[in-house]
Amino acid sequence: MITNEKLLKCGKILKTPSLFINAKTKADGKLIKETIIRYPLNKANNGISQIDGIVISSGDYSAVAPFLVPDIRAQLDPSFYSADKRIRLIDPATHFLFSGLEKDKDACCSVVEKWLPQLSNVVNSVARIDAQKEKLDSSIQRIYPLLDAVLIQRLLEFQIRANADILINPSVPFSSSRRINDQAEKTREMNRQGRVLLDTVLSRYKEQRDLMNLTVLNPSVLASTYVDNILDATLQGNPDIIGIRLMNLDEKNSVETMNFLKFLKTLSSSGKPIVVFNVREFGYVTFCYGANAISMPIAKSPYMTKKKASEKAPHEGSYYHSIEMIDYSYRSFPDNIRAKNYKLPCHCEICDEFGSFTKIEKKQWNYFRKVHFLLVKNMEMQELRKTDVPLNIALKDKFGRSQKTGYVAFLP
Amino acid sequence: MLEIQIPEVLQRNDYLKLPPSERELYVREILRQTVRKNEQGVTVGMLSEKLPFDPRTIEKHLSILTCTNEIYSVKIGNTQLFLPNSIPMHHAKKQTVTIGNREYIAYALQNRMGEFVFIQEKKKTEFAEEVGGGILIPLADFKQFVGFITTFSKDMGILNKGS
Repeated sequence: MITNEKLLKCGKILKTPSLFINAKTKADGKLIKETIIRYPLNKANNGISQIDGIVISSGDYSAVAPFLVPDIRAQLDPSFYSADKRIRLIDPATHFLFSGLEKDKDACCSVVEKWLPQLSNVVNSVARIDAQKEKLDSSIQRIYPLLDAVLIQRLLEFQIRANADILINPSVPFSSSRRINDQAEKTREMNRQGRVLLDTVLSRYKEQRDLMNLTVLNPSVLASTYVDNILDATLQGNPDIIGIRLMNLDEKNSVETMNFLKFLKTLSSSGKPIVVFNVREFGYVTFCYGANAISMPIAKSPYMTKKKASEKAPHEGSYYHSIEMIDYSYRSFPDNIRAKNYKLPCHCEICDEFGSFTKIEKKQWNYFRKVHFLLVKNMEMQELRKTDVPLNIALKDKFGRSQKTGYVAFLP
Repeated sequence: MLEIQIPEVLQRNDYLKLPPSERELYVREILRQTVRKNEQGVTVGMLSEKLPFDPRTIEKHLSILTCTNEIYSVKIGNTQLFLPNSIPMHHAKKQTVTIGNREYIAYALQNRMGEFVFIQEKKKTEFAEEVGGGILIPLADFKQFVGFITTFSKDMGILNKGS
């Protein structure tokens, strides 16, 4: 059930619970646009009307933006829920300067380059350090001083120009308990600066855009001794909305997962809306701990896994099984449905169109499975929003019937 | 010296890194917010003690804020006290009209000098809102002022052109 609706300063509404989708590439942007057009909300289709937001990293913005422009159909039909009518978030993604894939680092540096040309060299030289301890110390010593008020201002301006509906304060990640005080201090400083800048030099937008403090964290730092420090840093500067982005949550580690959920619960007592970024089905659990919205990548794992150089990701990605709530690889999926004559185990619009796995050509596979993912996530959100029972009960039932039974233990 | 309330500010090193035009905007906005937070009034001394700005910078921006009628000053002995002017008597009576990239706001306000109608002009740049100017007309004389503007418009033929 929709338990809360918050009117954002931009005029759009943040419903609780909400699902946002991460758009990372030109193909993602195109896919979202085409799915909205191909499956509009009408008597026959639910489309993706329950997906209320799109999240784009600053480095990916130029690739995705052309697909999010206002749609003429929305002018002709006010009920048409075009991409530009949904909540748009542009994540400055400065955490990529410290960890993550090289291409994400490069993308972030390319956005910042025009204001801070030396950043790229510093980030790359820090990234080349092998020893983790030394790398972290060096990043704090050399990258932190470059993330100053002027850079924050430019990144907020970038978001305003990109029509972001909520402005996200750039931040540094909480990645190590050894340097937690330095990381908290820098987060505090950046959160304060973002608020001051929005209230002063960006004053035209202080009543038109909500400001989000985004805390990026490795769940391992959420041991009880550090929580107060992280909470204090997260709430610094009186944000309108709070964002949490997890770096590689090990959902099988129940202590770490429970610590995170407790942290979320404490954070929600601040009364500010919370968006949990970059999660998959685990995100539904966070709704029961105070998260108002979650963001999900399209049909892939939200977490970064290091692969050996010899290991190459398969070209055909995995299929999300809507009942079992797990992903099947292109190779293993046919085995799973062989007994049912390869009939697709789903009733989303695109699965109904194809009917059988055998009818999907290999070259269509990736497009098919991503559209299917969006349509299924839409159905799941509709189910959660329309449930007559409390959300935790509805989720216990849903997870209980899936392969994600482990999540039931985390539900209150 | 009385304690004054100040808004969140950037460290001196940080604000000095801002480009000159944005630095001016920043200092003025911080002073505007500070005076608003302290309805009992503030002095240059109080501000320079609490804010990371030079007294001369503070004086300059206070005089700009005084010229645009956003604040006003009273002299008590040797002390010049700056007070906020922009607190409406009633929010319901505040009206705004946007013409081009300028916004005109009119509202009734009360300060130590009496009751006034305040008409303020705000200019919008790409990212900021700047106060262009403002006039204060005593509430009791406002009808006379409107009469003056109407006559002026008629004499200039502005109203006829507009219609």
